[in-house]
Amino acid sequence: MVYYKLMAVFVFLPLTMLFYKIIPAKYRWIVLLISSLGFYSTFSIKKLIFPFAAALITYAGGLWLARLESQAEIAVKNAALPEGADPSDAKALRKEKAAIRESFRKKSRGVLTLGILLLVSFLLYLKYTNFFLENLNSILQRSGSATQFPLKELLLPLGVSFYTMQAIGYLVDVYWKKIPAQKNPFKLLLFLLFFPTIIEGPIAAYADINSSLYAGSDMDAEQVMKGFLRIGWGVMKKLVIADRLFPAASVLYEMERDPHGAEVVAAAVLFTVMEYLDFSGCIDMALGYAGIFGIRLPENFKRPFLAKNASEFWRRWHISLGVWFKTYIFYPMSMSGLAKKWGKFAKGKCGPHLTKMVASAMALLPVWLCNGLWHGPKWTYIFYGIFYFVVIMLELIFEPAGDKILDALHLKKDNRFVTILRVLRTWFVIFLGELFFQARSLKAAFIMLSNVPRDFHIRLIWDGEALHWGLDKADWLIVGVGFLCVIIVNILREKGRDVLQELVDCPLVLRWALASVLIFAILMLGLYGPGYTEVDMIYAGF
Amino acid sequence: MKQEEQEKRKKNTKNLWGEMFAFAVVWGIVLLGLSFICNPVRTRNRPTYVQERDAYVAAALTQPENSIDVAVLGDSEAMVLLWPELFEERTGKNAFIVGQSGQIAAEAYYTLRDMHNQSPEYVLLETDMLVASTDERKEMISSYNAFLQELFPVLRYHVMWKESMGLKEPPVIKHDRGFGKRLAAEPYTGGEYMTSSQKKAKIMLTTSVYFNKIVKLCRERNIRLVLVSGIVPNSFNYEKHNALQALADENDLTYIDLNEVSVREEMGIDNETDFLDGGDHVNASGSIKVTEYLSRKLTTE
Repeated sequence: MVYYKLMAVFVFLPLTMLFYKIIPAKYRWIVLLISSLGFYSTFSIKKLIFPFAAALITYAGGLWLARLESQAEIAVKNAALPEGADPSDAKALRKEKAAIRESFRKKSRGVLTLGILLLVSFLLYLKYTNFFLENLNSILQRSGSATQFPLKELLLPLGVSFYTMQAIGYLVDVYWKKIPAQKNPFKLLLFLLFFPTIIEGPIAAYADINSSLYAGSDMDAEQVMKGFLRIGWGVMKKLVIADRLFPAASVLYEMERDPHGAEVVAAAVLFTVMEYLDFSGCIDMALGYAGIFGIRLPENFKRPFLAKNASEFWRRWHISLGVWFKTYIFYPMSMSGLAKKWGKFAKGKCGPHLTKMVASAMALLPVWLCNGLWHGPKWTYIFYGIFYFVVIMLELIFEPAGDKILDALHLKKDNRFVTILRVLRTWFVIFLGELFFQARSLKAAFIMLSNVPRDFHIRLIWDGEALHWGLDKADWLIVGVGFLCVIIVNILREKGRDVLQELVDCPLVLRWALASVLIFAILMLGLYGPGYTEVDMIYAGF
Repeated sequence: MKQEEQEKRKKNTKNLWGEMFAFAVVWGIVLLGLSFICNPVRTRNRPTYVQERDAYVAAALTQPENSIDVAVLGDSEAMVLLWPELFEERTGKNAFIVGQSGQIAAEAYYTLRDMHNQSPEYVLLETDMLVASTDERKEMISSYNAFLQELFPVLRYHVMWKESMGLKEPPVIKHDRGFGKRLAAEPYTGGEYMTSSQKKAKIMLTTSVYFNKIVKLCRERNIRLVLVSGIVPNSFNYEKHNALQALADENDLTYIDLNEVSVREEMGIDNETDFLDGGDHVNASGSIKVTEYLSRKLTTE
């Protein structure tokens, strides 16, 4: 059961709302937990064991860290001078206290490492075992060995990449003393399994949602209305536009067709648009579901196609993943011993720009490697991560030179013409990245790329070829109009307008008319029901 | 001032709840209206304005009044079970296969309920739909969807909006009374699959609920309900036979299991020539043998 299914919208959600409403506020989180377990069970009851195990590890790890922290405090408080020391020797006392703190810090670091290792090992085993075995078999075959390791039948539990990230984030935050450890294991289970976030995120930080998640605040009519509208908007993006583009995006990536230049570009562009609408649509639904219960999840998209460079793109696209990597990989790497050593070494020997570049590369490389790997066990994803690492490094390296050129041309960075050029350049990067992301293999991606100069005539698309990609004229018209609506809403939001609030505040007739158009579009033009092959949510597979 | 604001907010909240309720009611009515407009069966002149899967059901629902003597319900197994033309030749009865690929018990029930203008003598229920599912959750979700599509047919027929608006030609469907004449042959190479067992296969709860509804409906409309298990060497077994026999006994129904060794021998089923796809469905040659057998069985009963 996914968020846009009739069962989810007309049975699961109303039942959850009903029980949430009638149960006293103090126990409402239990309703959300039971609903989340029920929601997960519709995918697999057996696989619930994995999030349960993750919750147990996270719970135990959090409590252990908190216990060590309180033990450290008591030990520091009770610290006494070593025997025979001068009682007035404050320095010696401070030293003793520091030694105690350091001893506990080491223990805490050990607990944190153990917790993270356990969580990551689950993820690695479930997600990457076969990838490792496939590559090992390939190496063995090439080296002439007859040994081949059989692949394992591993079925990925739903949301494993998302709840593992949340669990690790929680443990690190407890270690950093940003949050207190959760003493109720079931509350922690709810944090990891909360049904709006379990399929495709957003990856929420415990500190950001814990208060609203457990508060059991009353369902506010305005919030409920906004929630339903947001769910509808997300369903429209997914069922009316994204799924309609699926046949075209699939056909164009079929290598047997030997796509010509214009088709390769169309493949990259259409897949990117489809992926954006699919993923952001699902996030809209997730935020809508959570919003109904007064739980504000972090936004995951912020008009990514208006980004002026690759770094900004990643601050606007899958934001929660970017924030997670920044918080838990980039910053720790920037403050690591290696980075400090480089800083010391480079001082006086290298220029500030080079020093900064190397330091950035040291922190960014693991971020982008993990980003690629997080998406799944495929070389194309790993390449995708490295691709962004290289692009962002190039942007950093050439930024001063670019600024100088703009100065020489007497142009400001925020000049409209310059902004358009920068946005277009970012589009090029995005589409190129997505070409590799979606390609069947790295080899296929390079072949497609090498095909770009061949027959690159845009008219090949207008000449009616697009009608052979599984969409007829009416479908293209729907995609065009639907995407235009998305663009208009995005522009309004970029200008700081709260579209949902304005919709709630506008006159009743207009509100009903707009909501009805949305429902009518989904009802009549949505690709659902018998006769349609369901298109899985892209990020649910990650 | 603060109290005034609170009062205003309270009133506004009350209004919004009322508005949402009113909106839901209005849209419920709109859905019914759209369903009325979209339903291809209603006007009887657009039965092909449906997805391929629903073609035979739509065709059956638009047949002239009281023209169907034997209605066969079921999934793809039902669609190759009986050759209506031959059956009519042998028995003088008009049979119509009201099948859908992957039809579930809920769909079979609603289809039968919708056949208001028919008074068939027999309903042959191909049993694959009763024992195929092993996932209660999936069965429940599918049944719920079937219920909603029955309540609001627009949810089923909305897919034909292009045809309804004249943007696309409706598909040409030759229904041949729901029969899928398959000439290709792929032998069944497995061994004997009906080895005796005391065990009983599990029938999903949701399936049972809808099966009981079918039984009740047939009794109310004075229709003889007969359970028929088509020949499916790849997935049928004695455990399923036992479960279906028990179900038939409980409800005082006739059960014809075409998989039984003696029945297959009587029909003269040849594993080399009578299967379409290696043991999942019979082909035209197999259908002829099954039709001959069922014709004899139903006329002698």
